[in-house]
Amino acid sequence: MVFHAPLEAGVTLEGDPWDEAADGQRTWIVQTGKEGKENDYGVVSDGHGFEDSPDCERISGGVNSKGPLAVAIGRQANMLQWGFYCAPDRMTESARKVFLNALVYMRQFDGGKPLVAKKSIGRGWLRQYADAVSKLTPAQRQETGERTYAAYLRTKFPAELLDGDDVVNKLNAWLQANEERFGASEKREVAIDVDLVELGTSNRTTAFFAAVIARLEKDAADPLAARLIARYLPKDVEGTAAGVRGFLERNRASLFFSDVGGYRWFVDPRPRAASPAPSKN
Amino acid sequence: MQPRLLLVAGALAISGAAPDTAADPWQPHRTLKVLYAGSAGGTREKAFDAFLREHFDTVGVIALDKLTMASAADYDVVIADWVSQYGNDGYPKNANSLHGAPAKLGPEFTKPFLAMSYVGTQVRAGYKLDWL
Repeated sequence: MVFHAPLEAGVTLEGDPWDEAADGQRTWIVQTGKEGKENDYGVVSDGHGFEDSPDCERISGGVNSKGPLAVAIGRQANMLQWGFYCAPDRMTESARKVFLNALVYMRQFDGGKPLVAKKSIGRGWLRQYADAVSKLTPAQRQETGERTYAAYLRTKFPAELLDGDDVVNKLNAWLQANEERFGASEKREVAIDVDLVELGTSNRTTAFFAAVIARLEKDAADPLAARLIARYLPKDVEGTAAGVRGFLERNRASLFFSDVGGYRWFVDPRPRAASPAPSKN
Repeated sequence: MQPRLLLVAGALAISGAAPDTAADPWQPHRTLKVLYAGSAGGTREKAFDAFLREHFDTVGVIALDKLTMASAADYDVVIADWVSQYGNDGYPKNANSLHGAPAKLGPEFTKPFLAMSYVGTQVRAGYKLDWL
């Protein structure tokens, strides 16, 4: 929508690809003038898990120092972030048209409120950290100074993954094995939830509900199920097989799991007819 | 005869008033009411004001610290804007002003708005469009 209507913005991709671009494409020029001289720096927000709640849509990235998935233009509920700093007099013609389209586009979100606050980082960050490790030389990986990038990255993974040879393959195998077992930990980090490992399912698919219900049907006082219900479901869900099943059946169409919202299941309270997937392209 | 003439006149009036949206797809959207809230009196305000008045019939301009649901009530969409700390565009360089957007637009602010650059991280901190 914002790129093609009401005005056809005529966005073209120019120049060399940004070497970190997620899609390998070239760049849409949004601002005029020399960066840091005639225009100024803007902002990007965290793209990992950004769209894990249905009130959010990533519209555009931007060249930045935070990573290829960072959000330059994005929407949560009734707020659209236009991450580029320049006022219209220093926007390119296509950017001015997209900006106008965005104003029109946003009108439909009158009354909107954010569905989740930011409580955690998305598990996708671990992929980005692993990618950063893969770009270090073996010598850099061994650097021990507390303030080195390698030392920072080592805090993100079990130590044994970063020792020895074949680090990249070990990291990738570990991520693949644990992708569905990550949960929140202290200080906004991500960690394997050992209770999920024992449960044997993902925390973010509806298989989670079936597995918890099965445990409660076998043992109504199952402590693992009780912990998982407290950790992942809304506070008002009754901790019984019938309670969990009823919650799922009442809310199935409106449920979503958000890493960023705190690694929990949420119910979208908006009426279904009022929350269609908007078209932004 | 009189009713027939009225009908013809009415048809002409409608034909004359109808915008040619095929030729100008923007025409139906000029009625969107847009409020700009930023740093009063600066070059950014002037640039936005001129740009918005070129494209919309109803444009309001206020200082960002005056932006509330009440001040935005008569508008469809709001632009929340503030100045850079770096001083590259005619505003004073001020390393301490990065966190200075003087408004808070929490969840109770339900009017649609575009937050320019880092303003969203200031007026609605703690949600997904926050500092990375």
